[in-house]
Amino acid sequence: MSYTFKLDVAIASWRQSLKLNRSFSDDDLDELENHLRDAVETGIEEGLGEEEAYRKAQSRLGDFTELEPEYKKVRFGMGRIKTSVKTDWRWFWAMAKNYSLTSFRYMRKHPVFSSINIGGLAVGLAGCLLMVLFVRQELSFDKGLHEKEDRIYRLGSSTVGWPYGKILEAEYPEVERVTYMRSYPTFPIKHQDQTLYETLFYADNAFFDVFDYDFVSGSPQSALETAYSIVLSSELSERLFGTQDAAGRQIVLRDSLQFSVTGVVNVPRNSHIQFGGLMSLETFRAFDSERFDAGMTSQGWLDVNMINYLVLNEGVDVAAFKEKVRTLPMEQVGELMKQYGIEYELGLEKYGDIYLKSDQGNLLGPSGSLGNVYLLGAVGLFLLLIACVNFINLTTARASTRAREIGLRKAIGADRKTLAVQFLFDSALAAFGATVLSMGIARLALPLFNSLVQRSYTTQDLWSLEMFGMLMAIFACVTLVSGAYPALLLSGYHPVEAMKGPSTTKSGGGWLRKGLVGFQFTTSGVLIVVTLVAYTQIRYMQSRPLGFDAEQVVVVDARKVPGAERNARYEAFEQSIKENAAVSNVSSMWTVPGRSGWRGQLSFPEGYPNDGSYGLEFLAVGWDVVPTLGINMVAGRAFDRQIGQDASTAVLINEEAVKAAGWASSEEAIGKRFTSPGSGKPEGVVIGVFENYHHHGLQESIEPMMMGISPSNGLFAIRVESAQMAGVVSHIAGVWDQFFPGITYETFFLDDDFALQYEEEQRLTRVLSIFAILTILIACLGLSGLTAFATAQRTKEIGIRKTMGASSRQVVMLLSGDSMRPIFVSFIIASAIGYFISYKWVERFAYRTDIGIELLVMAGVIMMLIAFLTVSFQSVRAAMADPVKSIRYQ
Amino acid sequence: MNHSISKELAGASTRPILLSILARSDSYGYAIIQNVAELSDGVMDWKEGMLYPVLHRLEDEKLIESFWKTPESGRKRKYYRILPAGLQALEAEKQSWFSVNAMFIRLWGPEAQLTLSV
Repeated sequence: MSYTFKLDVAIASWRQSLKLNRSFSDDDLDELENHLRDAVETGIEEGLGEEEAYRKAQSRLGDFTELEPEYKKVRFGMGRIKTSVKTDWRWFWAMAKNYSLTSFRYMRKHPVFSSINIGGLAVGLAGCLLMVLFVRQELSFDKGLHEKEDRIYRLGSSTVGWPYGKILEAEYPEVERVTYMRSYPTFPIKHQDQTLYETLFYADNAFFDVFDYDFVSGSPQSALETAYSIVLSSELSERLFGTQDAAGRQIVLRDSLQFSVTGVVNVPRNSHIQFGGLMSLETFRAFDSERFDAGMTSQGWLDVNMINYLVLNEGVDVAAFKEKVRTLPMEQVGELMKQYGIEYELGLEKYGDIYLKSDQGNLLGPSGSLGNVYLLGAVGLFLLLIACVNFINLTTARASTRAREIGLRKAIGADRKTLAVQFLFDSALAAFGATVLSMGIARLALPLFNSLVQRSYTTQDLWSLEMFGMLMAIFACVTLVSGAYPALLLSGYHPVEAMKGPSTTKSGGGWLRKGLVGFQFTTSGVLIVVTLVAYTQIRYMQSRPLGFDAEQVVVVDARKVPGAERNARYEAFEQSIKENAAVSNVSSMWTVPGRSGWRGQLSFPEGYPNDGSYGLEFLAVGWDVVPTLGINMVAGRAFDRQIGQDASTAVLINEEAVKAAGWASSEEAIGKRFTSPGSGKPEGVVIGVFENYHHHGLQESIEPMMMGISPSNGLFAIRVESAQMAGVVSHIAGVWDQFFPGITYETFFLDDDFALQYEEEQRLTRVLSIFAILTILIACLGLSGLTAFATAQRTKEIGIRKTMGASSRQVVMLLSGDSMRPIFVSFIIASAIGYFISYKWVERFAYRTDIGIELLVMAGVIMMLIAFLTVSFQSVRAAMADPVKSIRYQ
Repeated sequence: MNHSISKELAGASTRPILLSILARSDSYGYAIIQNVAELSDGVMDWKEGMLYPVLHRLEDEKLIESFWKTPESGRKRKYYRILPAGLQALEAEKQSWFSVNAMFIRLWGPEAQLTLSV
């Protein structure tokens, strides 16, 4: 085997031998190698062979044993190359493994403590996630749906007639486009053998110019141009036609009207305009051209069923434009308005504000509540804060029990930075566990949450990128804050001092921890107070006499029966129902208590000045309304079907209407006449005055009311003698099938229906109570963890106290007293804040309960009791322990 | 010519020699060793193991700086360039060496200017 010298190989191996020694940087090696090569070249020029030249050059340069000491002379202590093992990723990996092992071991050793810690944070995070979901979804309404949405406004401080839109479009250069919509009571939609009741609106052809909808089929240009055309939502289209294309097909509305489907659109869930279908406005003209044309003239000005959306041109000064149109009603129809004695101003509402901020509500779908968004946002934030505080508290408390471990680690060479990383790693691991867990909890709790807030969020809504981002941000914050205290403070302990054990080290951060626990309990306390007040208010509203008898009344909803048919058969229908002996009275009603009548009707009592305003709520009722509802008459008489003229001229009013008219007594009101100068409705002579009753929930005060006869209304109220209810209900169902076969039979109980008005408050209370329970739970978890920690630190002291003769009771009091003090203080603060918030809330109700001191005391007792139980659970255990063992502890 | 310079003197002169060479032009390690050998007629034979650490130290002291440069022909080399602080340091060195030199001239000159007291 022959040996051949290879220069490059030789140089490379020489370089490697130097590299293994860590005194040379790569830069140094480059320099030396170049030098070596120069020397070899010179040698070759002088006539030496390659190998010989290399040997000579290399021996001159020297190997590392000669080079190194020289380099070291310069380098050593000058910090030029600090090759540290710690820059190696393998080091990092090994340490990460070690850190997580330590953390896991610690968790396994203290399972209760760790699960309290992680579980508390997870529950808080989950609650917060759901709250954020709600807030985000509510705020996302009408954002990013239409290209022109920044320039779209809804006209009116209430709905207004379309002459406004016509004038604005024709005479105001600021206006680019106007679209008109009109709501309509539900129509039955028939296709083959299906009958569906869907929300339908009229809209004119400009609708799809103003709003951009995603057309599944059909085209926006002429979708709503001709009469009897309808655009379906994709959801309705699917229910009617399945996967087939609906465009061009025919459907039947209201039994006989043939409509052709001109398009199918996707209706975004986060749009305030929610419909099953849009009928062309031309259809409305085809139905009733007289009314349609009248809508354009004098009557149209007061038509409350039109909704106008404007698109303003780009760059229009909206504030100035608002001011310009404000006085438009008085300019146009001032005379008419004055006749009614009202001043009317025109307003503009920004498209994006309608869902959450409109005073008049949505009109075309459900409304959100900005108040609820704030409320749930605040609750979510506080829940998060409490959970984080809890986590931070427990983590730091726990960390300070590890002083001995820290001492040992330091003694064997851990530096401060390593320890800090260890602590951060610890809290990161726990926080990460909690984050993952919270996602699972939020997912599981989603159905419950949906029913609480009455939404239908899906898992996809929950797992958006932003939600993950938020979780990660919270995770990072919690890790840093909870890891920072031990990382900065504990890592600074002197090893010797630390090795002596936790009892000798200062229990730093004690006041901070107490303060944080105080904060938690303050928040829970506020929630407890507010929840209790809300409960009390609802109980009060439910138990207060309403002035009529809502029990034992069944209401049959016949509004889906076509008007003509109802008119023809209502008397026979009522008669058939009365055949059952348990039915004492039946009365048809346009509306029932708990649902709005025609509010704000202008009708002036005799002698009332016409330039003053007089609005009342008018109810169109059947003959027997007074006995059916159990209303008390205070003067005059009720309606009497024997007296023919009652049907056209008689009205009943309530005491409030008497007072508003300025009459001295109810008796005086009898025989007085009401007139309605504009519309001629409602008018009549007062034949009786009925006692004030709560037609609406107790949120509102009782307003002037008037009842007039209109025998064939859509609802039938039926009073039933007690204990016969089940039989009567099936009797009514039988009668219904006999009279109106094929039309959906719907009934409800009046008291249940009336109670629906408190649904919002009840839902709020449910949400509040759930979160009150959650916060107190988390706060208690934290408290129990802290007490356990505090008692553990004082184990020896307890042992000595007991040996010296302290009773267990004394020890319990000593330990509990310490923990209870901050809680008492936080309760005082909480009752003040809670009182203030509930006071503000209760103020919205016309009839409200007093927030008495006993309520606050009750909240306090609940809170202190829960806290005491939590604390004593730990302290009793410590106090009962064998003192000998306690003294030997540590 | 077989004499050599003592280790101490070589050590003491390294700094001013390096600064002087670099004050004339930028240069790199191998060339510097060649220059020194030529200038001293082979009397001074600098070892690489000594030269580079000294260059690095001068660099740390911010008297010179280094940079990699690839000449038109040949491989890239690490060049050293003198900095203003280096020129100042060289000036100081010159003064010291001149005064030592002046003393030897007087001592070894034909008319010794020193009266030795016995």
